[in-house]
Amino acid sequence: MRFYLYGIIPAGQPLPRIAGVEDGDLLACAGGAGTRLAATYSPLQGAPSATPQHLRQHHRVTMALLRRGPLIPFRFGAVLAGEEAVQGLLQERGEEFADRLENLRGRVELSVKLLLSEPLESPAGDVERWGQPGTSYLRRKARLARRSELRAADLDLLSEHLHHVMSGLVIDWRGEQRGAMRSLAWLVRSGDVQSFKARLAAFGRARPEVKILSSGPWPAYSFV
Amino acid sequence: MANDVPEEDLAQDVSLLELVDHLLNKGVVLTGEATIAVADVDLIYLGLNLVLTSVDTARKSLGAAG
Repeated sequence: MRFYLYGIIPAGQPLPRIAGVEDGDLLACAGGAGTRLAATYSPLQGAPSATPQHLRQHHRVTMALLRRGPLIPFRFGAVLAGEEAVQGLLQERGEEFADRLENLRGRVELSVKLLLSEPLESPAGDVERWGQPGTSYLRRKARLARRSELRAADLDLLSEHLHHVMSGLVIDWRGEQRGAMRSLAWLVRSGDVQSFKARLAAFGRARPEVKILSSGPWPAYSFV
Repeated sequence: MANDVPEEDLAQDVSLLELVDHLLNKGVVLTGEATIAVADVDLIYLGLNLVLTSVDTARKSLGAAG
């Protein structure tokens, strides 16, 4: 039997009554003498596969844990051999985890993805240019490359503006470009979630050219 | 200190896209005995690149863990 891990919590924090992945029990393994941490886990035969059902159940467990206090979330699929391995982990990284846990107390992650609404055209879709493949195709590719650069620059400006709009609410943030989309993660105080969402909604209404996908709150996946 | 996020926020449903992005792309990663088994995941159009990135990240982790 192996320990399938969800996250790190303060030792002694009450656990929610909820089934874990593959209907496993939700348990806590304390770090032993000298640590104030515990790892939450379900005893399973091995690592579960990343099916939608398992992902959703893992998410439900971490959200239930987050209701009760700070949580350092593990990536889905983290498995250790047993109690000894868990205690070894907590001893080895205890100071790091303790600092992070304290920094996450009362804080949650909000996710925002920005996508410009205008779609990119594809050079392969222009049938009438089949008679002029070489130079014409290369010119179109060059135009698309310039548009991609402009698009990234637009998203840079939008991200900066959004960050300015959220000033006073954001404790930390992360951003990365994924193709035509800018993915942002924001660490905020749990009491500021509604204010954040209200400001984001106003930001979106003022910019119909931008598609905004938002979700959260989450455990602080991007800040651990 | 208990988390004071409103219950309606904690209870919200999230898309598979976001689940994959958070749970497979982020969070504390263990080395050594940590394994990630990646099964087929239904793809969502808007998040196609996102899902592929997450699956790719998971496969790289699997490779790194041996």
